[in-house]
Amino acid sequence: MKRRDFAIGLAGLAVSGGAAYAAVPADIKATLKLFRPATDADISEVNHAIARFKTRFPNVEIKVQYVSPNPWGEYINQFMNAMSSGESPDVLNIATEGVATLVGRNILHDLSDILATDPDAKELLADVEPNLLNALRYNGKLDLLPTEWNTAVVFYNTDMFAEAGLAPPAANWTWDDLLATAQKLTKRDAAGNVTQFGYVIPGGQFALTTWFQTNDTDRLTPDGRKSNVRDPKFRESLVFLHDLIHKYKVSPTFALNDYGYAPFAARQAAMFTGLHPMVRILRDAKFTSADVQVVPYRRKQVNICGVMGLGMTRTTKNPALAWEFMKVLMDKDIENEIANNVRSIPARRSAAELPAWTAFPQHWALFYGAAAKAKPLTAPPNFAQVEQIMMRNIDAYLTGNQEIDAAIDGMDRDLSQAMSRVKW
Amino acid sequence: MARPDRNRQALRAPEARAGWLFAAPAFLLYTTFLLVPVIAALVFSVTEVDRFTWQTDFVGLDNFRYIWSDPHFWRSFLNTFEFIALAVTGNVGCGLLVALLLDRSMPRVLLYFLRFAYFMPVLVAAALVSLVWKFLYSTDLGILNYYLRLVGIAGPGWLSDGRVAMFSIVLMDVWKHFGFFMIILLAALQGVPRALIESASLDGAGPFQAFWHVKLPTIAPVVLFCITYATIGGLQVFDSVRILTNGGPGDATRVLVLYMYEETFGAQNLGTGSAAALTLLVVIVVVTALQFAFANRVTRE
Repeated sequence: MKRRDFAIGLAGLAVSGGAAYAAVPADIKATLKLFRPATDADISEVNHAIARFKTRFPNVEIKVQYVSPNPWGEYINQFMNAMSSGESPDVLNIATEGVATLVGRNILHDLSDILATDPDAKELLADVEPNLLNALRYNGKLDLLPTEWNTAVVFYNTDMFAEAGLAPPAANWTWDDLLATAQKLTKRDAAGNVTQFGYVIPGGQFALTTWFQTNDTDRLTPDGRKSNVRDPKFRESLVFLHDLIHKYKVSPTFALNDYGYAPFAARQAAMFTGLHPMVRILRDAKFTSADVQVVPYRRKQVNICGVMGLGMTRTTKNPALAWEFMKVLMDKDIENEIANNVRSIPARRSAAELPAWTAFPQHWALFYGAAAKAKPLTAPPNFAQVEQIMMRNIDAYLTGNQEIDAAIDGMDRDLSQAMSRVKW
Repeated sequence: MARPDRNRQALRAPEARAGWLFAAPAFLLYTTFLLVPVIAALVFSVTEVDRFTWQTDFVGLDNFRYIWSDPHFWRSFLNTFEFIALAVTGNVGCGLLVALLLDRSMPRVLLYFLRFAYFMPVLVAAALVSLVWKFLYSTDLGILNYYLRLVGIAGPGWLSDGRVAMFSIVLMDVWKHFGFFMIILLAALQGVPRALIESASLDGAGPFQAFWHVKLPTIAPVVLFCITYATIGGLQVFDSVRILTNGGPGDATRVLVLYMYEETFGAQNLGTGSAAALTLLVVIVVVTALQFAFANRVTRE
């Protein structure tokens, strides 16, 4: 065995001993595999990170497998395929939605000890809101470090508000305030057809969950193990949304997987609940009359969060080298690039204060400001199945195809059966 | 003069080898992409597999019992047959109708243009077509209902009303695919001997009678092929449903392949997904066998 390999092996052993990794020689020859979501911005950021990494380790080849994270269930499937075909990556990105699936199966290295001893890790954590780490913890373990994250806020058309003589929504606005505002913003033609809707109900689970969280409920119990849909507060949330469409007629027909930014950008709707990536979409469409506010609440003022984490698999043959690569994928340069691309909320606070990121909308500070108290989306190991069950029944109810009792009965039956089959 | 047996056997070996070599590539493809997956599905259907660790437990018929007792499975079963009934009728019917309209004397340029125009949707990716039609179908903000409202008609919930959603998917499917069947049926119609049609005309047969008594019996095998092909395609429908409605609202448009997909990649359960796939395989075999039996009888008659 070469001395170099022995040193690397020692570094790997050092993980279980709780010490930082030993230094990796600059002339090491190795291949690292990265598994990562695919967007143009992602690819650009990773290419730049690889270029930086190769200035220190020129003989290391990086192979990247890009996979679309829409939906996250598909992303996890592709990762499973990679693992089962012997092509397990060394480093991967995974969001809150997949944490339980991967961490629960002990697929990733526990990073707690490294974080306590590596100076670069300490520098990263000093620049990241501690609460974001909670979205990546599972059973007390922290196997992932945050690189970017998202929350849901209400986007509103400032011109439409001004035209209706309305003040912008307050930071402590309630569901009733949203309803009253939406009623004033909904316009109809002479025949009674709506030409401008007040609010678009989100068609995706992440943003829709804000309507449960702000009513102090959710589809699953807090431990994420059982169905919670028989909670009267959960039913109350659904009935309120149903009334927005069918009783008050301030929202268009519910559309699955439609977040509502298309009608908003087309000026057919005054408000929608969206994520930070919508900022770039609106900016690129030169839609400047938009601002944001936190989601309204009924019982509990809370923001949702989903965090993208970076982790190292236990199958990696080069843990020390993989850790060096992870540090590049979390450094200030890539975080600043995420901020300048305006596609997500960077994990580092300093990056979320860069001019490109703060240029639009006016209340940009709301996004990172939500981090301290944001509540992660509850994501059990069968997240994709839970999402399917939820959205199927909510879609049937909100489109008027099913009564509320039948929808809740169906959701509870299917969720209970699904959760009973989960191997924790 | 007959060759001696020894020489005949000596020649057969090289001929046999050549035969195997020619058949090998096709057999390899068949084995890799058909036989192995079917065997794998059989194995998975009676096991529970952890896809991360590949720990496999034999569970007998539990997976089959699970799906056969799942009301969503049976709903998806019925939905699939509803889709087939509507889509086959629409695709083959519209294809035949347009083929009949094109099977007449007209300037060649016009004929080529019309043939291409009707065939063009077939060439466009199904996913792209579905995305565009999803916008068209939007209940409150889509262009179809916009124009209906202009003439005083409240447009339906094309994709949001459970009574209409399947019809909407079929409408899009027929728009996209009927051109394929039109091409095949037009070629068949143009192969009908003109003498037969002229004889019928001389005997006083009108256009409908000529079609019913002369053209249709002649092209019957081709029509039956189209029906079989369209049925198999209908049994495998997935992408348009996934994009337009994702099986909703509720289970209104959930088809068998979507159910299989959700069990395998949503619930991460290879076993139940494979059990559903094998059930679908049996259904396809039975339906196709019935169609062939019917086709043979009709052709003989």
